Amino acid sequence: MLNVIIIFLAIFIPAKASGDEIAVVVNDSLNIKEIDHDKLLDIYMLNIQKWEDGQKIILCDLKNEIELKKQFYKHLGKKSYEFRKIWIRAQLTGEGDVPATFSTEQAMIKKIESTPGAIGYMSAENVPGSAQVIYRFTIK
Amino acid sequence: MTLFFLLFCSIFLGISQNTVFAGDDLSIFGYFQTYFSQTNIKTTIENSHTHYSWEQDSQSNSFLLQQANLFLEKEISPNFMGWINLEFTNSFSTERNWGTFNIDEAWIKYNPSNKFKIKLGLLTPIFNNLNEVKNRTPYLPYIYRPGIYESSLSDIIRMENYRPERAYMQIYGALPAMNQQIDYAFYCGNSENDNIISSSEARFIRGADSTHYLLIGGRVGLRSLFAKLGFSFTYDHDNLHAVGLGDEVRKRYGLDLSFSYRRIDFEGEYVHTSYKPMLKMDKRFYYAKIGYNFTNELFSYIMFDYLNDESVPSLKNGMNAYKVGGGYRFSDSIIFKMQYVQLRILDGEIYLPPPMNAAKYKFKLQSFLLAVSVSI
Repeated sequence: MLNVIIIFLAIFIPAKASGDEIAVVVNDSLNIKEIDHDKLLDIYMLNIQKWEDGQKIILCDLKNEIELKKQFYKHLGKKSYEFRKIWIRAQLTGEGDVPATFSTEQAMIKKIESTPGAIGYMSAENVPGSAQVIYRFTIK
Repeated sequence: MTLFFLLFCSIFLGISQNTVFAGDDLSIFGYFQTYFSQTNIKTTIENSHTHYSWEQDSQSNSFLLQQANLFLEKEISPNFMGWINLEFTNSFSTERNWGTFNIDEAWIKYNPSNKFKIKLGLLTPIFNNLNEVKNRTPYLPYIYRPGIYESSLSDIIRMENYRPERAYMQIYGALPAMNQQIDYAFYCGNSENDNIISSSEARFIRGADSTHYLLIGGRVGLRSLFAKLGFSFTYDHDNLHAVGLGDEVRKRYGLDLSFSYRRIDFEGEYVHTSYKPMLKMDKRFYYAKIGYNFTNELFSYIMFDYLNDESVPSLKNGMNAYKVGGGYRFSDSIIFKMQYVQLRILDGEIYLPPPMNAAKYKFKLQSFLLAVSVSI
């Protein structure tokens, strides 16, 4: 019975509810305090591939289509498969890289903290104190 | 003196290489697409004056490794990147004399910013939307591509008459403007004319393009979050010595439009190749595709394309194709695809030896294809 309840909750209760916050985190080698929505969009659309100091931008993404990922790309203005199409085209023409993907937020933050120029997103509540947050928004 | 010169060069080059090759490791990746097809072809030739007619029906079922591409990418320094694209088509095997192997691209890119980039070397130039990605099967939802991009039609259509296939230098980039991007690209290379020697001068150079004319071209476009629009053009000379003409000016014009709205996406292109009006050799091509994404993984589309070539009797009145298909993105690396294609040449003409002479030519191809595209 307990199993049934857990499965029911997992299916019908979204992982991220309205009012929760999503944070965009970068590696602390970058001297950036904050960015705006347009710049974040340009970064994920590969219109900007280098930070102001010349470091290469390393995009990080979640592997599975969970609510957090859906909400992040919804906030940027396109669905995740549309971004993926842009990345694949760029990768196969030598114009950019497909983001590194991670199964969990914890694995992603580890990569961001250890990779100069890396950027990724996660639930604001899971951001470690040492992480450098440059953008934040509330799920509507 | 020679020894000193060699020593100087080796030291100098050694230092240069140590400096330049301090980048990241070499990346090797690629993809392949294999398919099963069931194809019916019906060909009819009729001459109403001599009452001669000939008809052939053929059916084939076949598996094929449509293509496999291998990319080698190296970030030589923060602003320089080297790229090689090796392409194997049609179950390539030298043992069986199957398929082809191409060095599709080999270039170096200077990339100080997205606003300004230069590519040098063998490259696929930017022309309309599809030219650069025509063989990138993990990106394309379809198996059988729009007419001028479908390499299996190269026996019927001279693709290079509609779109530039190769260039050797390209300057391009994207300039931000009011939340949009203005894309630009300008390139040059050799005129494409099947590598036939382009004058009466009997000079053959093995492995070199024998044309002595330049191709110049470009694309200017506007790109936003949801739409992309562009105008493309090229100018070169076509070698028509074989048909009693000279090196004639050939201009290609292209328009492309893509957009997405909710789960619907659209892409379309128009190409017009023009010559001197008196030659009556103009060529036209267009296609339109409407897709619907049921989920992030499941997609479908319908597509129509048309092309004609005034200089080819069988294609004078055009060839059209209807395509319906769909697919499932099983993972980031694997895509399953299916497609139904109906291609027709209607009211074509063909010239045969007497007593047939000029005759009506009809061609109809129906194919059902199942494919898997795998990124490695």
